[in-house]
Amino acid sequence: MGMLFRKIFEKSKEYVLLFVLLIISLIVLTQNSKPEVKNIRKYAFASFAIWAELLNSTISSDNSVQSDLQQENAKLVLEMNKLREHALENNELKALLKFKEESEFELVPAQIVSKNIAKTQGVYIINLGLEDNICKSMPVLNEIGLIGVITEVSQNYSLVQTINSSLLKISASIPRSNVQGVITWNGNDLVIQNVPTTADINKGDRVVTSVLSTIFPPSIPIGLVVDKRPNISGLLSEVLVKPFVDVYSAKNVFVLFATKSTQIDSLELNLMRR
Amino acid sequence: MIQKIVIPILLVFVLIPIQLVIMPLVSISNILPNVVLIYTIIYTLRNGQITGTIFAFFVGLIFDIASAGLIGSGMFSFTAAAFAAGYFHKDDFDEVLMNIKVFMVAFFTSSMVFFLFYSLLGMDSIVISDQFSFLTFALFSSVYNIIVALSIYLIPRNRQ
Repeated sequence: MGMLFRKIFEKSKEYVLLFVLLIISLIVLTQNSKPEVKNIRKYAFASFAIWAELLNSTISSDNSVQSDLQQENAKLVLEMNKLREHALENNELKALLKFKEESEFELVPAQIVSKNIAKTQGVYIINLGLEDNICKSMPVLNEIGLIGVITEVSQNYSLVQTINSSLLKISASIPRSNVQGVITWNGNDLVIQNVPTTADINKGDRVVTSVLSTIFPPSIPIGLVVDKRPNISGLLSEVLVKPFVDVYSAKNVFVLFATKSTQIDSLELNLMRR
Repeated sequence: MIQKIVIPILLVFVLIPIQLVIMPLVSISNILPNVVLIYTIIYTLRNGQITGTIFAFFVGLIFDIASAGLIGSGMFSFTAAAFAAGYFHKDDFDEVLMNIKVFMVAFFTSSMVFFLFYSLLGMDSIVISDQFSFLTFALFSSVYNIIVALSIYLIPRNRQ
């Protein structure tokens, strides 16, 4: 019996090896959300980012003036969106909003150290970390719109999960008709799933971050509606959204110092805390 | 030992920053070659299926950690790609190089395997709505990978 197994193994050892290695890979893949694995990732990407930044600094030129202008642009885009939202709101809501303190957007420019361009795993490493008061869940954007969110922070570097990552789920809304939904990346487009087919959504509608999001402040531009596809039952549809930002060609990004509402946070509605 | 394991692993540590910092600059519509994959395939073509598959497994692990991607997706994809490349291994690597068709088929097969698995394993959902787009993406990425891999012919070789 032992001889038989030995013979089989000898004959197909490459398949056995492949099978074992692939199984190990899949087991590791399922462990990604564990804190131990997250910690390893955090320290590993931070130490690797030093080398990547070194290489990056040798190939990139100084573009501080351009960066300043882009920062100004990003601020203006955020303000413009906020004003557009206000224009769409009714008088009663406007009156209520007057009681709220208007907040200033504080944007901190960051440089992308490295990009992992893959169809479903859009990840950046940027050169800001705990030393720059960066925290997890801070939104990252540029002068055109939303890019992603900070998911890991080390001393000097941070990991940004971009909107081109299928792991990121964003609470989004269409301000014209006030339709709310959760937007995700399906490998090609951003998609708002399970929207009632009867919802008032047209091609070209703007999609922004929702007021329901506890991660993102409201009204950060995400993209435009390009299509609405009903599912088999016809009751629900998926809305395809073309993002404003081409995540992979972005060069300068900004971290928005947005503080989360502790009250809302305590309700554990935050989708990041899965 | 040093030549077969240590130097290749060190080379991977050099290639990964190149992949993550320089390669995005040459991407066309988000499609870009993977120099780490090219090196892994060449390593497998030189050293055989079993050695190449084990090497690719560790390359995948290093790549996943350094690129901050999902740990396991690179391991799986690199391993599968190297295994596919192993079928084209010849004891004399020059024999593979001499036959450009075999070289291109080896790269195409392995690259398709890599890009398909790497994209699919990055998905959070098990429901893939547009399978065709994943195939097209893998196809274009593989073609770009082959074009870059062909640069190996520009390296002067010792002919005996």
